[in-house]
Amino acid sequence: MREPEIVIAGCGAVSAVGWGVKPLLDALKKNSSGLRACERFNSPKFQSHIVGAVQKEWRSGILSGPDFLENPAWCLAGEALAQACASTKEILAKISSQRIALVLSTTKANIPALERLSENLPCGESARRHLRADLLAEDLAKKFGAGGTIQTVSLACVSGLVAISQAAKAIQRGEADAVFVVGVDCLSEFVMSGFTALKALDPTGCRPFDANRCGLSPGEAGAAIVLARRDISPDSKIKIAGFGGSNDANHLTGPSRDGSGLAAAIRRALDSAKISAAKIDFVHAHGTGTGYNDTMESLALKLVFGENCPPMSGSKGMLGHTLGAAGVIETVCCVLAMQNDFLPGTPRMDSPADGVPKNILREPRAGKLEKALKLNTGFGGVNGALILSNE
Amino acid sequence: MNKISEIAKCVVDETQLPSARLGPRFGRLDLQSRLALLAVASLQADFEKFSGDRIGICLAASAGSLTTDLNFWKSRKETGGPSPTLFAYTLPSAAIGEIAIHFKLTGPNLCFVGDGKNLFAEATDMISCGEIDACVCVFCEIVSPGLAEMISVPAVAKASAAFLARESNHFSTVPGNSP
Repeated sequence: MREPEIVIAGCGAVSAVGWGVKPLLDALKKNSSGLRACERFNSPKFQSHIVGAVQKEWRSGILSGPDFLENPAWCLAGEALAQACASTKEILAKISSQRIALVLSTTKANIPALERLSENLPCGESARRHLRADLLAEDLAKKFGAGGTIQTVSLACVSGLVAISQAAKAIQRGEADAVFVVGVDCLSEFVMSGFTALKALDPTGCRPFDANRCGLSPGEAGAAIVLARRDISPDSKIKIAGFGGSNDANHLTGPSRDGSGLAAAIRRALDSAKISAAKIDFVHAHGTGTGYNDTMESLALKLVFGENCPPMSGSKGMLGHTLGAAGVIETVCCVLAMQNDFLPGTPRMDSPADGVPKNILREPRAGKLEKALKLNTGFGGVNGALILSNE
Repeated sequence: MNKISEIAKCVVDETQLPSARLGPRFGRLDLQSRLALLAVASLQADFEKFSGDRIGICLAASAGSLTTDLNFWKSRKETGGPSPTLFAYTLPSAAIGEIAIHFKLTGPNLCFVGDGKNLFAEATDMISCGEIDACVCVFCEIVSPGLAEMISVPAVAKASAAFLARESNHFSTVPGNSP
Protein backbone atom coordinates (compact mmCIF):
# COMPACT_ATOMS: atom_id res chain seq x y z
CA MET A 1 0.00 0.00 0.00
CA ARG A 2 1.12 3.52 -0.72
CA GLU A 3 1.68 6.17 1.92
CA PRO A 4 0.20 7.62 4.05
CA GLU A 5 -1.02 4.83 6.32
CA ILE A 6 -4.77 4.33 6.44
CA VAL A 7 -6.48 3.12 9.60
CA ILE A 8 -9.94 1.90 10.50
CA ALA A 9 -11.23 4.57 12.87
CA GLY A 10 -14.73 3.21 13.50
CA CYS A 11 -17.37 0.70 12.46
CA GLY A 12 -21.11 0.15 12.40
CA ALA A 13 -23.24 -2.89 11.60
CA VAL A 14 -26.83 -4.05 11.36
CA SER A 15 -27.17 -7.74 10.59
CA ALA A 16 -28.97 -10.97 11.33
CA VAL A 17 -27.23 -11.18 14.72
CA GLY A 18 -28.22 -7.77 15.96
CA TRP A 19 -28.26 -4.05 15.89
CA GLY A 20 -24.76 -2.69 16.28
CA VAL A 21 -21.18 -3.85 16.53
CA LYS A 22 -21.57 -5.22 20.07
CA PRO A 23 -24.07 -7.98 19.13
CA LEU A 24 -21.81 -8.88 16.20
CA LEU A 25 -18.85 -9.21 18.57
CA ASP A 26 -20.96 -11.32 20.96
CA ALA A 27 -22.08 -13.60 18.13
CA LEU A 28 -18.49 -14.01 16.91
CA LYS A 29 -17.34 -14.94 20.41
CA LYS A 30 -20.24 -17.39 20.92
CA ASN A 31 -20.04 -18.75 17.39
CA SER A 32 -23.80 -18.29 17.12
CA SER A 33 -25.82 -18.15 13.94
CA GLY A 34 -28.37 -15.53 12.92
CA LEU A 35 -29.83 -17.76 10.21
CA ARG A 36 -33.55 -18.36 10.80
CA ALA A 37 -36.65 -19.56 8.97
CA CYS A 38 -38.32 -16.51 7.47
CA GLU A 39 -42.08 -16.70 6.90
CA ARG A 40 -41.88 -14.20 4.06
CA PHE A 41 -39.95 -16.72 1.95
CA ASN A 42 -41.83 -19.82 3.12
CA SER A 43 -43.19 -20.69 -0.31
CA PRO A 44 -42.64 -23.40 -2.92
CA LYS A 45 -41.36 -20.55 -5.09
CA PHE A 46 -38.13 -20.59 -3.09
CA GLN A 47 -35.64 -23.39 -2.59
CA SER A 48 -35.14 -22.37 1.05
CA HIS A 49 -36.56 -19.94 3.57
CA ILE A 50 -33.56 -20.08 5.91
CA VAL A 51 -31.97 -16.65 5.65
CA GLY A 52 -29.95 -14.08 7.57
CA ALA A 53 -32.69 -11.50 8.10
CA VAL A 54 -32.47 -8.36 10.21
CA GLN A 55 -35.06 -8.74 12.96
CA LYS A 56 -37.67 -6.04 12.52
CA GLU A 57 -38.49 -5.68 16.22
CA TRP A 58 -35.02 -4.36 17.04
CA ARG A 59 -35.98 -0.79 16.27
CA SER A 60 -39.68 -0.39 16.00
CA GLY A 61 -40.63 2.63 13.97
CA ILE A 62 -37.51 2.41 11.83
CA LEU A 63 -37.11 -1.14 10.63
CA SER A 64 -40.70 -2.21 11.00
CA GLY A 65 -42.26 0.92 9.49
CA PRO A 66 -43.15 1.70 5.89
CA ASP A 67 -39.67 3.08 5.25
CA PHE A 68 -38.15 -0.34 5.89
CA LEU A 69 -40.76 -2.10 3.80
CA GLU A 70 -40.19 0.17 0.81
CA ASN A 71 -36.63 1.31 1.32
CA PRO A 72 -34.67 -1.23 3.40
CA ALA A 73 -31.39 -0.37 1.68
CA TRP A 74 -31.60 3.21 2.97
CA CYS A 75 -32.55 2.08 6.49
CA LEU A 76 -29.78 -0.54 6.78
CA ALA A 77 -27.07 1.64 5.25
CA GLY A 78 -28.14 4.73 7.17
CA GLU A 79 -28.26 2.97 10.53
CA ALA A 80 -24.86 1.35 10.06
CA LEU A 81 -23.31 4.64 8.99
CA ALA A 82 -24.92 6.48 11.90
CA GLN A 83 -23.24 4.01 14.27
CA ALA A 84 -19.86 4.39 12.58
CA CYS A 85 -20.12 8.20 12.67
CA ALA A 86 -21.10 8.13 16.35
CA SER A 87 -18.06 6.00 17.16
CA THR A 88 -15.75 8.47 15.38
CA LYS A 89 -17.42 11.73 16.40
CA GLU A 90 -14.26 13.30 17.81
CA ILE A 91 -12.18 12.41 14.78
CA LEU A 92 -14.76 13.63 12.29
CA ALA A 93 -15.08 16.91 14.19
CA LYS A 94 -11.48 17.69 13.18
CA ILE A 95 -12.19 17.32 9.44
CA SER A 96 -14.08 19.66 7.14
CA SER A 97 -17.03 18.08 5.36
CA GLN A 98 -15.38 18.64 1.96
CA ARG A 99 -12.50 16.38 3.06
CA ILE A 100 -14.82 13.45 3.85
CA ALA A 101 -15.57 11.12 0.92
CA LEU A 102 -18.03 8.24 0.67
CA VAL A 103 -17.76 4.91 -1.11
CA LEU A 104 -20.89 2.77 -1.31
CA SER A 105 -20.71 -0.97 -1.91
CA THR A 106 -23.87 -2.70 -3.10
CA THR A 107 -25.02 -5.16 -5.71
CA LYS A 108 -28.77 -4.50 -5.76
CA ALA A 109 -29.27 -1.20 -3.86
CA ASN A 110 -32.99 -0.83 -3.08
CA ILE A 111 -34.21 -3.61 -5.37
CA PRO A 112 -37.49 -4.09 -3.40
CA ALA A 113 -38.65 -0.85 -5.05
CA LEU A 114 -38.46 -2.53 -8.46
CA GLU A 115 -40.64 -5.34 -7.14
CA ARG A 116 -43.18 -2.86 -5.79
CA LEU A 117 -43.23 -0.61 -8.85
CA SER A 118 -43.69 -3.63 -11.14
CA GLU A 119 -46.72 -4.70 -9.12
CA ASN A 120 -48.14 -1.17 -8.84
CA LEU A 121 -47.74 -1.28 -5.06
CA PRO A 122 -47.18 1.96 -3.13
CA CYS A 123 -43.58 3.11 -3.42
CA GLY A 124 -42.36 6.46 -2.15
CA GLU A 125 -40.11 8.76 -4.10
CA SER A 126 -36.97 8.07 -2.05
CA ALA A 127 -37.49 4.29 -2.28
CA ARG A 128 -37.74 4.62 -6.06
CA ARG A 129 -34.74 6.94 -6.18
CA HIS A 130 -32.64 4.43 -4.22
CA LEU A 131 -33.20 1.77 -6.86
CA ARG A 132 -30.24 3.57 -8.41
CA ALA A 133 -27.17 2.79 -6.35
CA ASP A 134 -25.44 6.06 -7.25
CA LEU A 135 -28.36 8.10 -5.94
CA LEU A 136 -28.42 6.05 -2.74
CA ALA A 137 -24.74 6.94 -2.29
CA GLU A 138 -25.45 10.59 -3.03
CA ASP A 139 -28.22 10.77 -0.43
CA LEU A 140 -26.13 8.96 2.21
CA ALA A 141 -23.31 11.43 1.65
CA LYS A 142 -25.68 14.38 1.99
CA LYS A 143 -27.35 13.01 5.12
CA PHE A 144 -24.08 12.24 6.90
CA GLY A 145 -22.06 15.27 5.84
CA ALA A 146 -19.64 13.69 3.38
CA GLY A 147 -19.02 16.63 1.07
CA GLY A 148 -16.09 15.09 -0.81
CA THR A 149 -16.00 12.65 -3.68
CA ILE A 150 -18.59 9.87 -3.95
CA GLN A 151 -18.09 6.47 -5.56
CA THR A 152 -20.51 3.59 -5.97
CA VAL A 153 -18.76 0.26 -6.34
CA SER A 154 -20.71 -2.74 -7.64
CA LEU A 155 -18.36 -5.62 -8.38
CA ALA A 156 -20.56 -8.55 -7.36
CA CYS A 157 -19.66 -10.08 -3.99
CA VAL A 158 -16.19 -8.52 -4.04
CA SER A 159 -17.74 -5.03 -3.95
CA GLY A 160 -17.04 -4.47 -0.26
CA LEU A 161 -13.32 -5.21 -0.40
CA VAL A 162 -12.93 -3.09 -3.55
CA ALA A 163 -14.83 -0.26 -1.84
CA ILE A 164 -12.39 -0.36 1.10
CA SER A 165 -9.45 -0.36 -1.32
CA GLN A 166 -10.95 2.56 -3.28
CA ALA A 167 -11.50 4.49 -0.05
CA ALA A 168 -7.88 3.95 1.00
CA LYS A 169 -6.71 5.10 -2.43
CA ALA A 170 -8.82 8.27 -2.19
CA ILE A 171 -7.03 9.23 1.03
CA GLN A 172 -3.61 8.28 -0.33
CA ARG A 173 -4.19 10.39 -3.45
CA GLY A 174 -4.97 13.35 -1.21
CA GLU A 175 -8.62 13.54 -2.25
CA ALA A 176 -9.92 13.07 1.31
CA ASP A 177 -8.81 12.90 4.93
CA ALA A 178 -11.47 10.36 5.89
CA VAL A 179 -13.85 8.14 3.93
CA PHE A 180 -17.15 6.51 4.86
CA VAL A 181 -17.27 3.01 3.38
CA VAL A 182 -20.83 1.71 3.43
CA GLY A 183 -21.90 -1.78 2.39
CA VAL A 184 -25.54 -2.70 1.99
CA ASP A 185 -27.81 -5.29 0.43
CA CYS A 186 -31.23 -6.42 1.55
CA LEU A 187 -33.25 -9.60 1.30
CA SER A 188 -35.80 -9.56 -1.48
CA GLU A 189 -37.95 -11.90 -3.52
CA PHE A 190 -35.79 -10.83 -6.45
CA VAL A 191 -32.60 -12.25 -4.93
CA MET A 192 -34.34 -15.33 -3.49
CA SER A 193 -35.91 -16.09 -6.90
CA GLY A 194 -32.54 -15.73 -8.61
CA PHE A 195 -30.62 -18.06 -6.33
CA THR A 196 -33.55 -20.50 -6.42
CA ALA A 197 -33.39 -20.46 -10.24
CA LEU A 198 -29.69 -21.26 -10.00
CA LYS A 199 -30.47 -24.01 -7.45
CA ALA A 200 -27.83 -22.46 -5.23
CA LEU A 201 -29.62 -22.44 -1.85
CA ASP A 202 -29.13 -24.95 0.97
CA PRO A 203 -32.68 -25.83 2.10
CA THR A 204 -31.48 -26.34 5.68
CA GLY A 205 -29.25 -23.26 5.85
CA CYS A 206 -25.69 -22.92 4.64
CA ARG A 207 -22.83 -24.95 6.11
CA PRO A 208 -19.63 -23.38 4.78
CA PHE A 209 -16.73 -25.82 4.34
CA ASP A 210 -18.78 -28.67 5.83
CA ALA A 211 -18.63 -32.13 4.28
CA ASN A 212 -22.40 -31.92 3.69
CA ARG A 213 -22.54 -28.37 2.39
CA CYS A 214 -24.94 -27.90 -0.51
CA GLY A 215 -25.59 -24.22 -1.04
CA LEU A 216 -25.69 -20.72 0.34
CA SER A 217 -28.12 -18.77 2.52
CA PRO A 218 -28.86 -15.18 1.53
CA GLY A 219 -28.59 -12.52 4.20
CA GLU A 220 -29.07 -8.80 4.56
CA ALA A 221 -26.90 -6.23 6.28
CA GLY A 222 -25.79 -2.68 6.48
CA ALA A 223 -22.18 -2.16 7.49
CA ALA A 224 -20.00 0.92 7.65
CA ILE A 225 -16.34 1.63 8.24
CA VAL A 226 -14.71 5.02 8.71
CA LEU A 227 -11.22 5.08 7.20
CA ALA A 228 -8.83 7.89 8.06
CA ARG A 229 -5.20 8.89 7.75
CA ARG A 230 -3.26 7.57 10.72
CA ASP A 231 -2.24 11.07 11.85
CA ILE A 232 -5.92 12.03 12.13
CA SER A 233 -6.81 8.92 14.12
CA PRO A 234 -3.55 8.05 15.93
CA ASP A 235 -5.18 5.73 18.47
CA SER A 236 -6.59 3.40 15.81
CA LYS A 237 -4.49 0.25 15.57
CA ILE A 238 -5.93 -1.60 12.58
CA LYS A 239 -4.33 -0.57 9.31
CA ILE A 240 -5.29 -1.32 5.70
CA ALA A 241 -2.07 -3.06 4.67
CA GLY A 242 -2.74 -4.34 1.17
CA PHE A 243 -5.27 -5.24 -1.49
CA GLY A 244 -5.25 -7.41 -4.58
CA GLY A 245 -7.82 -8.22 -7.24
CA SER A 246 -8.04 -10.58 -10.21
CA ASN A 247 -10.45 -12.22 -12.63
CA ASP A 248 -10.72 -15.97 -13.32
CA ALA A 249 -11.75 -15.32 -16.97
CA ASN A 250 -13.37 -18.73 -16.78
CA HIS A 251 -17.16 -18.74 -16.25
CA LEU A 252 -19.82 -16.15 -15.47
CA THR A 253 -21.33 -17.84 -12.42
CA GLY A 254 -18.85 -20.57 -11.54
CA PRO A 255 -15.43 -20.03 -9.97
CA SER A 256 -12.27 -21.39 -11.55
CA ARG A 257 -11.78 -25.08 -10.81
CA ASP A 258 -8.15 -24.72 -9.75
CA GLY A 259 -8.22 -21.66 -7.48
CA SER A 260 -5.54 -19.90 -9.50
CA GLY A 261 -7.54 -16.66 -9.88
CA LEU A 262 -8.10 -16.18 -6.17
CA ALA A 263 -4.49 -17.22 -5.49
CA ALA A 264 -3.36 -14.45 -7.88
CA ALA A 265 -5.45 -11.91 -5.96
CA ILE A 266 -3.91 -13.06 -2.66
CA ARG A 267 -0.40 -12.76 -4.09
CA ARG A 268 -1.17 -9.26 -5.33
CA ALA A 269 -2.40 -8.33 -1.85
CA LEU A 270 0.76 -9.75 -0.27
CA ASP A 271 2.90 -7.77 -2.76
CA SER A 272 0.88 -4.64 -2.01
CA ALA A 273 1.41 -5.15 1.73
CA LYS A 274 5.08 -5.99 1.10
CA ILE A 275 4.89 -9.12 3.26
CA SER A 276 5.33 -12.84 2.68
CA ALA A 277 2.53 -15.39 3.01
CA ALA A 278 4.18 -16.66 6.21
CA LYS A 279 3.29 -13.38 7.96
CA ILE A 280 -0.47 -13.99 7.66
CA ASP A 281 -1.82 -15.40 10.90
CA PHE A 282 -5.53 -15.61 10.09
CA VAL A 283 -7.65 -16.03 6.96
CA HIS A 284 -11.27 -14.93 6.92
CA ALA A 285 -12.69 -16.84 3.97
CA HIS A 286 -15.49 -16.02 1.53
CA GLY A 287 -17.01 -19.43 2.42
CA THR A 288 -20.45 -19.34 0.79
CA GLY A 289 -21.25 -22.98 1.46
CA THR A 290 -21.55 -23.93 -2.21
CA GLY A 291 -19.45 -26.90 -3.27
CA TYR A 292 -17.70 -25.09 -6.10
CA ASN A 293 -16.81 -21.98 -4.11
CA ASP A 294 -15.52 -23.70 -0.99
CA THR A 295 -13.47 -26.16 -3.05
CA MET A 296 -11.97 -23.39 -5.18
CA GLU A 297 -11.14 -21.33 -2.11
CA SER A 298 -9.44 -24.30 -0.43
CA LEU A 299 -7.37 -24.89 -3.57
CA ALA A 300 -6.40 -21.21 -3.75
CA LEU A 301 -5.21 -21.26 -0.15
CA LYS A 302 -3.17 -24.39 -0.85
CA LEU A 303 -1.55 -22.68 -3.86
CA VAL A 304 -0.45 -19.75 -1.70
CA PHE A 305 0.25 -21.36 1.67
CA GLY A 306 0.97 -24.97 0.73
CA GLU A 307 0.11 -27.35 3.57
CA ASN A 308 0.68 -24.60 6.14
CA CYS A 309 -2.46 -22.53 5.74
CA PRO A 310 -2.96 -20.23 8.74
CA PRO A 311 -6.04 -20.72 10.92
CA MET A 312 -9.11 -19.84 8.86
CA SER A 313 -12.84 -19.44 9.29
CA GLY A 314 -15.89 -17.91 7.65
CA SER A 315 -18.93 -15.99 8.89
CA LYS A 316 -21.67 -16.73 6.35
CA GLY A 317 -23.10 -19.44 8.60
CA MET A 318 -23.72 -16.57 11.04
CA LEU A 319 -24.79 -13.69 8.78
CA GLY A 320 -25.80 -15.35 5.53
CA HIS A 321 -24.39 -14.16 2.24
CA THR A 322 -24.92 -10.41 2.38
CA LEU A 323 -23.65 -9.84 -1.20
CA GLY A 324 -22.53 -6.21 -1.58
CA ALA A 325 -22.35 -5.78 2.18
CA ALA A 326 -20.31 -8.96 2.68
CA GLY A 327 -16.85 -7.49 2.19
CA VAL A 328 -17.56 -4.63 4.57
CA ILE A 329 -19.31 -6.53 7.38
CA GLU A 330 -16.83 -9.42 7.18
CA THR A 331 -13.98 -6.92 7.42
CA VAL A 332 -15.71 -5.57 10.53
CA CYS A 333 -15.66 -9.17 11.86
CA CYS A 334 -11.89 -9.26 11.30
CA VAL A 335 -11.43 -5.88 13.00
CA LEU A 336 -13.40 -7.06 16.05
CA ALA A 337 -11.32 -10.23 16.25
CA MET A 338 -8.07 -8.26 16.00
CA GLN A 339 -9.17 -5.71 18.59
CA ASN A 340 -10.34 -8.38 21.03
CA ASP A 341 -7.56 -10.95 20.60
CA PHE A 342 -9.49 -13.93 19.32
CA LEU A 343 -9.95 -15.94 16.14
CA PRO A 344 -13.61 -16.41 15.10
CA GLY A 345 -15.01 -19.86 14.33
CA THR A 346 -17.11 -21.12 11.44
CA PRO A 347 -20.74 -21.29 12.59
CA ARG A 348 -22.82 -24.20 11.27
CA MET A 349 -19.78 -26.17 10.09
CA ASP A 350 -19.67 -29.62 11.66
CA SER A 351 -17.15 -31.84 9.87
CA PRO A 352 -14.86 -30.13 7.36
CA ALA A 353 -15.06 -31.43 3.80
CA ASP A 354 -12.11 -33.20 2.20
CA GLY A 355 -9.55 -30.75 0.91
CA VAL A 356 -10.44 -27.95 3.33
CA PRO A 357 -7.29 -26.63 5.07
CA LYS A 358 -6.72 -28.56 8.28
CA ASN A 359 -6.46 -25.35 10.28
CA ILE A 360 -10.08 -24.41 9.75
CA LEU A 361 -11.61 -23.28 13.03
CA ARG A 362 -14.94 -24.77 14.03
CA GLU A 363 -15.03 -22.77 17.28
CA PRO A 364 -13.50 -19.41 18.21
CA ARG A 365 -10.26 -19.43 20.13
CA ALA A 366 -8.10 -16.86 21.90
CA GLY A 367 -5.11 -15.47 20.06
CA LYS A 368 -3.45 -12.25 19.09
CA LEU A 369 -3.75 -11.39 15.42
CA GLU A 370 -1.24 -9.17 13.66
CA LYS A 371 -2.01 -9.78 9.99
CA ALA A 372 -5.42 -10.95 8.77
CA LEU A 373 -6.32 -11.84 5.20
CA LYS A 374 -9.94 -11.26 4.13
CA LEU A 375 -11.16 -12.96 0.94
CA ASN A 376 -14.21 -12.54 -1.28
CA THR A 377 -15.06 -13.86 -4.73
CA GLY A 378 -18.04 -13.28 -7.00
CA PHE A 379 -19.98 -13.85 -10.21
CA GLY A 380 -18.11 -12.70 -13.27
CA GLY A 381 -14.98 -14.46 -11.98
CA VAL A 382 -13.97 -11.57 -9.72
CA ASN A 383 -11.68 -12.13 -6.74
CA GLY A 384 -10.51 -9.82 -3.97
CA ALA A 385 -8.05 -10.10 -1.08
CA LEU A 386 -7.58 -7.50 1.65
CA ILE A 387 -4.86 -7.55 4.29
CA LEU A 388 -5.38 -5.87 7.67
CA SER A 389 -2.50 -5.19 10.01
CA ASN A 390 -2.72 -4.71 13.78
CA GLU A 391 0.05 -2.30 14.76
CA MET B 1 7.16 7.22 -14.96
CA ASN B 2 6.18 6.35 -18.52
CA LYS B 3 3.39 8.30 -20.16
CA ILE B 4 0.01 6.59 -20.29
CA SER B 5 -1.80 6.89 -23.61
CA GLU B 6 -5.26 6.25 -24.90
CA ILE B 7 -4.55 3.68 -27.58
CA ALA B 8 -8.01 3.25 -29.04
CA LYS B 9 -11.60 4.19 -28.37
CA CYS B 10 -15.02 3.55 -29.88
CA VAL B 11 -18.77 3.83 -29.32
CA VAL B 12 -21.34 1.21 -30.33
CA ASP B 13 -25.12 1.03 -30.23
CA GLU B 14 -27.87 -1.53 -30.80
CA THR B 15 -27.87 -1.13 -34.58
CA GLN B 16 -24.43 -2.76 -34.73
CA LEU B 17 -25.40 -5.88 -32.78
CA PRO B 18 -26.89 -7.97 -35.62
CA SER B 19 -23.64 -7.94 -37.57
CA ALA B 20 -21.45 -8.71 -34.55
CA ARG B 21 -19.60 -12.05 -34.73
CA LEU B 22 -18.35 -12.67 -31.23
CA GLY B 23 -18.81 -16.37 -30.68
CA PRO B 24 -21.72 -18.77 -30.20
CA ARG B 25 -22.65 -17.47 -26.74
CA PHE B 26 -22.94 -13.84 -27.82
CA GLY B 27 -26.68 -13.93 -28.51
CA ARG B 28 -27.39 -15.28 -25.03
CA LEU B 29 -25.78 -12.37 -23.21
CA ASP B 30 -27.86 -9.52 -21.84
CA LEU B 31 -27.93 -6.25 -23.79
CA GLN B 32 -25.39 -4.52 -21.53
CA SER B 33 -22.87 -7.35 -21.88
CA ARG B 34 -23.37 -7.60 -25.65
CA LEU B 35 -22.83 -3.87 -26.16
CA ALA B 36 -19.88 -3.75 -23.77
CA LEU B 37 -18.23 -6.75 -25.42
CA LEU B 38 -18.86 -5.36 -28.90
CA ALA B 39 -17.39 -1.99 -27.88
CA VAL B 40 -14.22 -3.66 -26.59
CA ALA B 41 -13.94 -5.91 -29.66
CA SER B 42 -14.35 -2.87 -31.90
CA LEU B 43 -11.22 -1.37 -30.37
CA GLN B 44 -9.29 -3.98 -32.38
CA ALA B 45 -6.65 -3.78 -29.70
CA ASP B 46 -3.88 -6.36 -29.67
CA PHE B 47 -4.24 -7.43 -26.07
CA GLU B 48 -1.73 -10.22 -26.63
CA LYS B 49 1.06 -7.68 -26.50
CA PHE B 50 0.50 -7.70 -22.75
CA SER B 51 0.30 -10.49 -20.25
CA GLY B 52 -3.42 -11.12 -19.54
CA ASP B 53 -2.89 -10.67 -15.82
CA ARG B 54 -1.43 -7.20 -16.41
CA ILE B 55 -4.56 -5.88 -18.14
CA GLY B 56 -7.32 -4.52 -15.91
CA ILE B 57 -10.94 -3.79 -16.73
CA CYS B 58 -12.71 -0.67 -15.41
CA LEU B 59 -16.40 -0.41 -16.17
CA ALA B 60 -19.11 2.06 -15.25
CA ALA B 61 -22.81 1.56 -15.89
CA SER B 62 -25.03 4.63 -15.77
CA ALA B 63 -28.07 2.69 -14.55
CA GLY B 64 -26.36 -0.33 -13.03
CA SER B 65 -28.04 -3.48 -14.33
CA LEU B 66 -31.60 -2.23 -13.87
CA THR B 67 -32.72 -2.99 -17.44
CA THR B 68 -31.75 -6.64 -17.01
CA ASP B 69 -33.12 -6.59 -13.45
CA LEU B 70 -36.51 -5.62 -14.81
CA ASN B 71 -36.37 -8.32 -17.51
CA PHE B 72 -35.42 -10.93 -14.89
CA TRP B 73 -38.21 -9.85 -12.57
CA LYS B 74 -40.73 -10.16 -15.41
CA SER B 75 -39.33 -13.60 -16.32
CA ARG B 76 -40.59 -15.11 -13.05
CA LYS B 77 -44.11 -15.13 -14.48
CA GLU B 78 -43.06 -17.03 -17.61
CA THR B 79 -43.38 -20.79 -18.03
CA GLY B 80 -40.53 -22.43 -16.16
CA GLY B 81 -40.20 -19.57 -13.70
CA PRO B 82 -37.45 -17.02 -13.30
CA SER B 83 -34.58 -17.35 -15.75
CA PRO B 84 -31.29 -18.52 -14.18
CA THR B 85 -29.45 -17.20 -17.23
CA LEU B 86 -30.89 -13.72 -16.83
CA PHE B 87 -30.19 -13.72 -13.07
CA ALA B 88 -26.50 -14.10 -13.78
CA TYR B 89 -26.64 -10.77 -15.62
CA THR B 90 -28.42 -8.86 -12.86
CA LEU B 91 -25.11 -7.38 -11.75
CA PRO B 92 -23.55 -4.29 -13.31
CA SER B 93 -20.25 -6.17 -13.36
CA ALA B 94 -21.53 -9.12 -15.42
CA ALA B 95 -20.19 -7.44 -18.56
CA ILE B 96 -16.71 -7.43 -16.98
CA GLY B 97 -16.95 -11.21 -16.65
CA GLU B 98 -17.88 -11.58 -20.31
CA ILE B 99 -15.04 -9.29 -21.47
CA ALA B 100 -12.56 -11.13 -19.23
CA ILE B 101 -13.68 -14.54 -20.55
CA HIS B 102 -13.68 -13.50 -24.22
CA PHE B 103 -10.27 -11.83 -24.18
CA LYS B 104 -8.70 -13.90 -21.35
CA LEU B 105 -7.97 -10.83 -19.25
CA THR B 106 -7.18 -11.90 -15.67
CA GLY B 107 -6.03 -8.60 -14.17
CA PRO B 108 -7.91 -6.66 -11.46
CA ASN B 109 -11.32 -5.11 -12.08
CA LEU B 110 -13.28 -2.06 -10.98
CA CYS B 111 -16.99 -1.51 -11.53
CA PHE B 112 -18.97 1.62 -10.73
CA VAL B 113 -22.57 2.68 -11.00
CA GLY B 114 -22.89 6.27 -12.20
CA ASP B 115 -21.65 8.69 -14.81
CA GLY B 116 -18.27 7.08 -15.40
CA LYS B 117 -16.39 10.37 -15.08
CA ASN B 118 -13.80 8.71 -12.83
CA LEU B 119 -13.06 5.78 -15.17
CA PHE B 120 -9.92 7.13 -16.85
CA ALA B 121 -8.58 8.53 -13.58
CA GLU B 122 -8.99 5.16 -11.85
CA ALA B 123 -7.49 3.25 -14.79
CA THR B 124 -4.57 5.67 -14.99
CA ASP B 125 -4.00 5.36 -11.26
CA MET B 126 -3.86 1.55 -11.45
CA ILE B 127 -1.35 1.73 -14.30
CA SER B 128 0.79 4.46 -12.80
CA CYS B 129 1.12 2.73 -9.44
CA GLY B 130 2.22 -0.48 -11.17
CA GLU B 131 -0.81 -2.67 -10.46
CA ILE B 132 -1.28 -3.24 -14.21
CA ASP B 133 0.29 -2.22 -17.53
CA ALA B 134 -2.89 -1.52 -19.46
CA CYS B 135 -6.60 -1.12 -18.85
CA VAL B 136 -9.81 -1.59 -20.81
CA CYS B 137 -12.32 1.13 -19.88
CA VAL B 138 -16.00 0.66 -20.67
CA PHE B 139 -18.95 2.96 -20.10
CA CYS B 140 -22.44 1.47 -20.56
CA GLU B 141 -25.61 3.49 -20.89
CA ILE B 142 -28.47 0.99 -21.01
CA VAL B 143 -31.99 2.08 -20.10
CA SER B 144 -34.87 0.16 -21.70
CA PRO B 145 -38.14 2.00 -22.43
CA GLY B 146 -39.82 0.13 -19.54
CA LEU B 147 -37.10 1.13 -17.11
CA ALA B 148 -37.05 4.68 -18.46
CA GLU B 149 -40.66 5.07 -17.43
CA MET B 150 -39.97 3.56 -14.00
CA ILE B 151 -36.99 5.75 -13.07
CA SER B 152 -37.85 8.83 -15.15
CA VAL B 153 -34.76 8.98 -17.34
CA PRO B 154 -34.53 8.81 -21.16
CA ALA B 155 -34.24 5.41 -22.83
CA VAL B 156 -30.78 4.72 -24.28
CA ALA B 157 -28.65 1.75 -25.37
CA LYS B 158 -24.98 2.33 -26.15
CA ALA B 159 -21.55 1.49 -24.86
CA SER B 160 -18.18 3.13 -25.31
CA ALA B 161 -14.76 1.66 -24.74
CA ALA B 162 -11.17 2.82 -24.62
CA PHE B 163 -7.84 1.14 -24.08
CA LEU B 164 -5.16 2.80 -21.99
CA ALA B 165 -1.56 1.58 -21.79
CA ARG B 166 1.93 2.67 -20.86
CA GLU B 167 3.73 4.15 -23.84
CA SER B 168 6.86 2.16 -23.02
CA ASN B 169 5.08 -0.97 -24.19
CA HIS B 170 5.39 0.40 -27.77
CA PHE B 171 1.82 -0.52 -28.35
CA SER B 172 0.40 0.03 -31.79
CA THR B 173 -3.05 -0.73 -33.04
CA VAL B 174 -5.58 0.24 -35.63
CA PRO B 175 -8.29 2.16 -33.80
CA GLY B 176 -11.80 0.89 -34.31
CA ASN B 177 -14.73 3.02 -35.36
CA SER B 178 -13.72 6.00 -33.24
CA PRO B 179 -16.40 8.55 -32.46
